[in-house]
Amino acid sequence: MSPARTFPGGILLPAHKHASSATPIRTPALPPELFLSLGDATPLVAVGDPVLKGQLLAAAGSDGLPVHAPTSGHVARIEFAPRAEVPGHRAVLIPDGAERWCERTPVNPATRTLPELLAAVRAAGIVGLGGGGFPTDIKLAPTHPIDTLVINGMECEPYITADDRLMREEAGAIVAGMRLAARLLGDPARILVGIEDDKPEAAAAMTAALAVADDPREIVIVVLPSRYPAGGERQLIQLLTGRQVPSGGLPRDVGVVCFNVGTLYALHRALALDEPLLSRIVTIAGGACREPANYRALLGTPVAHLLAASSYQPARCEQLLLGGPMMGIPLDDVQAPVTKTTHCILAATAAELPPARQPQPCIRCGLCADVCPASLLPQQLLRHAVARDHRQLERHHLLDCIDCGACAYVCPSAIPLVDHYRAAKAEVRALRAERGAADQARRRFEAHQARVARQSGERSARHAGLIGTSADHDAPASAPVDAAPVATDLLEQALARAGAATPRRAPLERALSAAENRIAQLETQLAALDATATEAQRNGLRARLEQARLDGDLARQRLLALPAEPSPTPDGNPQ
Amino acid sequence: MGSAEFLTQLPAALATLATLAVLAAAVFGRATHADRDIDIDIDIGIQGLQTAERELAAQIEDLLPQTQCGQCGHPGCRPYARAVAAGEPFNKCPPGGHATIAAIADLLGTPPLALDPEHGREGPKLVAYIREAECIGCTKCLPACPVDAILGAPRQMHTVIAAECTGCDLCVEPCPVDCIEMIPAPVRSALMARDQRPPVAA
Ligand code: SF4
Ligand code: SF4
Ligand code: SF4
Ligand code: SF4
Repeated sequence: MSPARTFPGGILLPAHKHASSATPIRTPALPPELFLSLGDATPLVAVGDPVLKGQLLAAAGSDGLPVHAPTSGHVARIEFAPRAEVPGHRAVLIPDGAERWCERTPVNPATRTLPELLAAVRAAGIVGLGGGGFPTDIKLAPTHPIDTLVINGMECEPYITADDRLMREEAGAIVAGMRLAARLLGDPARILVGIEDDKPEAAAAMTAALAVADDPREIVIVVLPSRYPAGGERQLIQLLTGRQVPSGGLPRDVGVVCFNVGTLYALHRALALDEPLLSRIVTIAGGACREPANYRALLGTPVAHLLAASSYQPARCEQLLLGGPMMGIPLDDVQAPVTKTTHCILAATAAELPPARQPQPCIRCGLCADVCPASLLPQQLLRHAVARDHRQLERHHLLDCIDCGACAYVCPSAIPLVDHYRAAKAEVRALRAERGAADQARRRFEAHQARVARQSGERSARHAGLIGTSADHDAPASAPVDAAPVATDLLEQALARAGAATPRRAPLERALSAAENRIAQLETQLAALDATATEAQRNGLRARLEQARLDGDLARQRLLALPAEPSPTPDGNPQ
Repeated sequence: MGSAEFLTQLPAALATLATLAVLAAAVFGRATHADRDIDIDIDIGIQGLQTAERELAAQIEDLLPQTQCGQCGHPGCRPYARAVAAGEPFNKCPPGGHATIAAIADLLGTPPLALDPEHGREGPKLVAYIREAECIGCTKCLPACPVDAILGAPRQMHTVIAAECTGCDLCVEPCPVDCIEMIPAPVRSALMARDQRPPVAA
């Protein structure tokens, strides 16, 4: 068999799963309002429009994900949501309670071509529901040959039971989704389903569903011992196949694609029933809820609505987390909506999650390195993160950290290691993005200069009556002496400026008056903001005001610097 | 053209450059950044020397924000990088701000300088926004953009491709109806609330 089927590190955690896994998935009452983040998707409905369940509300933006109406009703508002996880516009839908569907045209997926199926997955807006949130259609169109499809039914984080319940109740649909995924991936030779040993009912349900499906492929359900974070994508792949996803790489690099069971369920509903992704299973857990349970929650449902259905007692809640106890992040707005990646809301009592202790300096005990499933050196990472040494952080593979929190869990000095890494990762990504944008700007600037040089070369050749061959025209652009284009460009500009009859007074005066107008306008707007205005709105206006003032000052200075009379002396410095 | 062909044409090209430099100096009436850049290139071209300086310039250029705004007094980031490699103070780039100054200081092994206020102040990243209803389609802003980020045609409404705009501000002045304004760039890589740094133990 293949190499060591285990992953490094990991910890044993108390599961706390029975409270929410005992009851069937509940369907909550319709909330009074649904909040749907639009990002940069293009809205296709206007305020006041009636909408049907499943209707397209906004065409996909840069993330490639369309927004659908989770139920029928009307669009009450389209508003700015500054407190959202990613601040941006959102549509507010008021349900009419009728749950009237838009027209669906289910087609037997077996009769459709792969491109048609992929387009349908994209149109349904399906993403990885295990928490990654990566668009599923991209994963389903792999660039590498795939020989193994891994199904993730591990759910290794304490308290969370959404996948457990889904496998127990919808195993048939999950298996159907699994077979669709396999077909889209070019029928990989084997399918491995990983389920932790604390979910025997789920494993039994899946086994039964597979027996019914009677698939000729090698499909194996592997029951694995509970060890956190065995449900991490890389960890599960290593456990099941012995293959290690390379640092900075993707599972497909080792011939594997991995899907969460919830994603497969959504895939089945999209392709067999023509239903876009409108809801997901959310675990409401923790000692501050009297009735922990799983909910089939419509996207956009305020978290508070689900908490209320579970008899949430705010007074007993020490920490309210979006996510589980290990990877969850504090949720300070209970009105925040359920999104495609919300799998758990944990309302933990002080006994369950005691308040964080005061962090102490690192004592270099090395416990964190022992438990890190990604074989990183957490204490080194901490040092570099605090020093903001991004080069060292990248060298120590910061981006391979999966945020599992095992290191912080064992740290005797109570250092919130993961919080440091999250911040550092965001910075490293921001820097990379900036660098990418700068390189792009440089390429465009060079192309611009080459074009200007070529055009001015053509022009002067025409003026001089010279016969220019195209090779001559290209010369400035491709010649290694790369300042040549700049020089011709500048010279031409300078000559044009010197020759111009009027100096540049008029545009400066225009710029000044425009800036003054803008200042006046913005000042009124700022003064008109009332108490409901958010800090972000206020800051946005202030920034624009400051910019307008700077523009005005600059124009004024440059006007003063101009000679009193139009004179042929040009302003040599490009501004 | 092939490199052999280029070499035979090199003297002619350099002669042209030299003439241009003289002409430029005459037009500006004083030594400017433009002829200085040409000088540098002639030196490199003729002697094939100063490779170290050129190398350094390339490294410095990699640290610059590539806004191409000219606030440093040079026509773009590369000429500024060359000037810095040749010894000019490296505190003249407002878009890069303190981070860029620190990075260059690091590279040169010298202490960082404060940003020279002569050249502008460090501010939030901006993008140009054309109030499209007011745009008269004059095309005057098109040639001003160093990265060709404005889309338009005569008597057609123009628009800025926000993702390509470097926020250099050069298109604002040429617009005869002042319909271009600079607005804060949407913070795409914004640190989310969850990405805040925790306090460090003493
Ligand atoms: S949070 Fe990151 S560094 Fe810490 S144990 Fe998990 S993978 Fe390793
Ligand atoms: S577990 Fe905590 S104290 Fe120990 S080495 Fe890691 S960071 Fe330092
Ligand atoms: S000021 Fe900075 S960004 Fe602007 S051209 Fe000069 S080096 Fe480039
Ligand atoms: S659109 Fe305007 S501000 Fe943006 S890069 Fe072009 S000239 Fe500069």
